[in-house]
Amino acid sequence: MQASVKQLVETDINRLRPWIAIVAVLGALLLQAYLPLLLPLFSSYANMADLPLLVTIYLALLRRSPVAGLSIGMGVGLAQDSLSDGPIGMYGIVKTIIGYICSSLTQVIAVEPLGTRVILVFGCYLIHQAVFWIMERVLLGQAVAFLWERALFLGVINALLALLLFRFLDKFRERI
Amino acid sequence: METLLARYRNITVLALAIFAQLLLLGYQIRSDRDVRLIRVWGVTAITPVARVVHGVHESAAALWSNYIWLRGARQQNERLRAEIGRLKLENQALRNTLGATERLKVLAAYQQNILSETMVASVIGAGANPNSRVIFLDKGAGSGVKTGMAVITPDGIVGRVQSVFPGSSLVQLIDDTNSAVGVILESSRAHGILKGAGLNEGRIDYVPNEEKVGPGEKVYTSGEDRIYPKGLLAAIVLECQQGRDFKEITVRPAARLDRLEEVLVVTRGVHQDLPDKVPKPGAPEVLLPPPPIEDRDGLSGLVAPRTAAGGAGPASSAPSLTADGSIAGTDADRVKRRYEELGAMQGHKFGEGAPGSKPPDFNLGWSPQGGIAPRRPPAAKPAGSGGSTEGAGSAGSLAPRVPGTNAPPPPPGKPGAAAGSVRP
Repeated sequence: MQASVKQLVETDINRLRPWIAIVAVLGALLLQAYLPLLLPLFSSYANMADLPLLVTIYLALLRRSPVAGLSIGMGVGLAQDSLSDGPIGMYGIVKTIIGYICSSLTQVIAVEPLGTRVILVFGCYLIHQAVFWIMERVLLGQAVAFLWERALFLGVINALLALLLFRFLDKFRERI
Repeated sequence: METLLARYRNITVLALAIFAQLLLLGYQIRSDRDVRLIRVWGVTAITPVARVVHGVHESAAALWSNYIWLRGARQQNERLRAEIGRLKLENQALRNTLGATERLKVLAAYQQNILSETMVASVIGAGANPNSRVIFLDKGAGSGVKTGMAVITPDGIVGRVQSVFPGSSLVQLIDDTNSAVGVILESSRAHGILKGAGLNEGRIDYVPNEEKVGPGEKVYTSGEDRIYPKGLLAAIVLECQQGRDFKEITVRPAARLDRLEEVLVVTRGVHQDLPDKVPKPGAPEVLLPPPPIEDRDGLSGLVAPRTAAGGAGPASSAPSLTADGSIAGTDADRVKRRYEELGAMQGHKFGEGAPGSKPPDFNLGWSPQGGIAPRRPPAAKPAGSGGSTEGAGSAGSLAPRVPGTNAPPPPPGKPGAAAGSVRP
């Protein structure tokens, strides 16, 4: 498994050390799951961020292969599903789509500028929420309303947060 | 075909991935069963990291709470210590206020119980010389304090005002070696002079060796020094020895001279009785009946006709009867009247007999049993002169007395008459 991850991460001119990628995914899942417990006062703010989504986007953008991107998204999504009480596969499907989109976009546009990253994360967040909402209604049969205003607001928040997170993760990138 | 797959490879993989997950979802929803294996993987991968993060968080919290945050705790500790000190001072001040209030209440109650007019003053200092026993009061000439005024407490006398200043006064304590107080001993009523001996002690001079004085006896002011009103407690006898000319009596001032805080300055002294002369509360008060006329001197039979005759005898010697029937006048008056009556009965005129002539028999009617024999002239016994003389003549003019009193024995049927009425 370590070899596959290594191969997955090192197939581009920009590579991220495999253990850093794993730590980034685990850290995102961990913070998403335990940050509200560790910081009860900031639990409502912590729930605003979708760190697994941001890490998925970053890793998918770093990889320029759609297959690699969807694989990363599927792995992160299934891991997120395993830590939730819902059926496994909901976040897996959504993040698989996000990973595929992000990896595919790297072949079309330059994703390194900050503005592109912000818009990309904002759009991916809206797609993520919309697909998840559709799956809740179609697959699970839950009559859940889609809150556009909340989705837009949180999209902005996550886009801004992604700037900080991506800049932090960029420090661990190595040029081949 | 191979080219087609290669061309749509990415989308095919995506479709397969989504399809596989849809199957997984459908399986879970359809069978209502969980895919435990995936959850175990996820939890197994996350929980060790979570445990580490939790441990780091706990350690960081402990480090913050027990070490880093101690900087604030130290400042808080100092602030709390300062507050404790302030509260202690405040508590002490309140205790002092409470103690002063209690002492002032005692002083106020004592002020109302004594006859002298007094003024409350606080002790604000002591003398600089350790050998001089003086204190300073916060009241001076502006408050009406004058030199020579007595200073007392409910426990006993303190001293006298030696010097007066505008806002304060100097008081010489009674244990000062230059102090002298006229005193009277409680039980023997012997007078003496209390002189200070320093260090809360004193001695009493000029008490004769014959007087009985014992340790613990109270010493009161006699008022003879014209400073301290009579009747104030001055000291307690500690030791008493026979001296060369007078007793050597060592006393301790009744007032706690080393712990004075509030005192009373006697602005107008009034003498009062010693406390033991005042009847104790609850003690029965015995009222004796007035002595009857025949019991005074056995001459009621002689007196009655004169009063009834409207002044037949010498007007000057005629006894006057009080409202209760007793004879007014002293014993000498009665003896004089008796002699005049005896002389008149025997025809003797005082001042006319020659030297050597026979004097009148002054023992006429006297019996050795302590009474006067029933030798009464009939003429001196008029009818309606009163029933008191009849009984007296038949039983003797002087009936046996009740021991310790002047009352006659009780008549039959009235056992309590002789003892007087007892009024609780």
